[in-house]
Amino acid sequence: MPELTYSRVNRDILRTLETPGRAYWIAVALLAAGVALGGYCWGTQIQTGMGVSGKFIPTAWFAYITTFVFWVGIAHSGTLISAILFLFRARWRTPVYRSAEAMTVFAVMTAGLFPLIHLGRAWQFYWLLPYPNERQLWPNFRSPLLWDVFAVTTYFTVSAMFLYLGLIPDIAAARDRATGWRRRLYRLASLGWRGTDTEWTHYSSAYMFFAAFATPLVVSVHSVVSWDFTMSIVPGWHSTIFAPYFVAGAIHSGLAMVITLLIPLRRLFRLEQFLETLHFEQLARLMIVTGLIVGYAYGVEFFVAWYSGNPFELSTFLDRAFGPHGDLFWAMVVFNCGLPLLFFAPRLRRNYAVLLTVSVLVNVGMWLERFVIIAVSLTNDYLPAIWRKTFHFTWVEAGILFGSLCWFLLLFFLFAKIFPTVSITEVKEALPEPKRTVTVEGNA
Amino acid sequence: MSRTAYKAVEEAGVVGVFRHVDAVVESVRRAREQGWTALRVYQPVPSHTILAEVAPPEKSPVRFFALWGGVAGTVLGFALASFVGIKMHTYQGLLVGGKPPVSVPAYIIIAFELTVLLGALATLAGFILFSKLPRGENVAGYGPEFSEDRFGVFIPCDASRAEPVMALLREAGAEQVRFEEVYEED
Repeated sequence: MPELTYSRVNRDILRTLETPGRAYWIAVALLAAGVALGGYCWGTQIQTGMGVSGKFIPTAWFAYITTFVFWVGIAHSGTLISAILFLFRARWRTPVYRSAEAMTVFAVMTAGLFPLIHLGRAWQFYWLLPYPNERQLWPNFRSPLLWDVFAVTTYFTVSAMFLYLGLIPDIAAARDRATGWRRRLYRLASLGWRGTDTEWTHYSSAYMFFAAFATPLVVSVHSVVSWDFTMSIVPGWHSTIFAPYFVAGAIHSGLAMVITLLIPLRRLFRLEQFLETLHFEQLARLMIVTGLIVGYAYGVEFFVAWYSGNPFELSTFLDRAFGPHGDLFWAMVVFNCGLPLLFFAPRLRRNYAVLLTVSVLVNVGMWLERFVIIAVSLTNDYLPAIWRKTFHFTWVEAGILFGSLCWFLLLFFLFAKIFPTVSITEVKEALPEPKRTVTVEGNA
Repeated sequence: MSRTAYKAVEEAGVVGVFRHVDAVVESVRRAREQGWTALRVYQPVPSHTILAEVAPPEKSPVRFFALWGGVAGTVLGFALASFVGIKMHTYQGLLVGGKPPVSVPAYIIIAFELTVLLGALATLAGFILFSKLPRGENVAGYGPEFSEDRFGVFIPCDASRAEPVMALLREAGAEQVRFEEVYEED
């Protein structure tokens, strides 16, 4: 394979923005149809009322809030890769981080829909914002639901700005070669960037501070989401380990989603020389770590339930593992903790078919984890008279969940054809500087 | 005569196109020795070798925006939540959830999120402000090669003084030198 040079990096990465083929448009059309289906289902729910969803007391949170937590979790590894690994100078993140960061923004955009869908009267979403109503009553700043509004809004805003900041020099590179509507778009989006020494000085400084601001968000956002549950007294929710447990799970699912997206992207956009096996191996190694942490958390939850001596807590956990939904629990354990252990074998973590299969199953497992935590715990309230052991999953809910997956993938597909999914600047930075005195290696 | 001839020249100067970082550094040193201090370097990547030579020794003031944005967020978060708690308790007699009007542990979360939010917003604002963005097309000396694999050293000067500057850049190893002028926009 020819050696990478600055010029070659530009050419190969910008080539991915060229006019797509028929397969791309078919994929976009199918995804748009999926989004339309989701929109239709949401419209039906708004028009008919919440009765068309499978919401019943006490398990009203079972579909939409489960999926909200799932999508917020997916976002997390993007920030881990783009911010934390940047601060730790992990150079292997370079070709991976742009896609991961874009995935973060799109996952939060998807997650943000679910509280609105769950509200029922979605047009009154602004009641969530911190301002007084006509009776001078404000939202409750001690409520984890308001913390969630602050956390998710901040996460989206900071992630979107961080993604955009990193994109500016690459958009300028694309602008200098584009024509037509693309050139107009890139001229606007690049803000007139010219890559002067002054611009790079302030850019480098701003980028580092953004990474520093985004780093605590990785920990804080899913901690806040976990407190939506722990601040209540529902057995199975009221636990002090939820914050680190949720954060580890979020990163676990996010890593799986990064692998799920990058393997097809690598193949479709012929990015093999940028997204090498080494990068997937590093992601797989990280998944072993997060999978072990998640497995440890599963064990600790059961230990705490037993050691607390609280019969309600123990009953909930026994029900979780051996009750009517025990099959979902054990599927969750196998998918999230068992399958990533395969990556201990170098042969398996270098095999793209195994990587893709395991990462898809981990995504399924992480949705099941949220379902088991949120929905199954709700079936065992303190009042046995209202226990409800079955879930009624309606076509409206199924359509909305499917639509959300299509929405996420559609955003990513469109992004991948408009903006570079591999950072031109950072890949170039990783190459040796071209010097007259060096003639054997580097760009000289 | 073209229409632009009636417009004032906004910026004029000589740009040298370089392939190698060490040649850029050498050209900058030579230019400064000859008194051409107000120069700028176009780079496809942030070359630390070049920035160490060209950029001012003090750190970017963007850091103060990050700091004060973050501080403003912390203060605003606590102030907003405390104001609401005190106001609702004092004027409406509401003690929500039986908690004190100023519930510090709960308000830390609001303050934390606003610290990050305002800190990041201020950092972006600082970057845009100090980088003088957004800017139009009127940038003398810039070429598309500078976003690919070439470096450019631009030395502002008028046409009468362009020759010695061009010679200087050529001697330092420029592949190409050219004199450019940009005119004020309508």
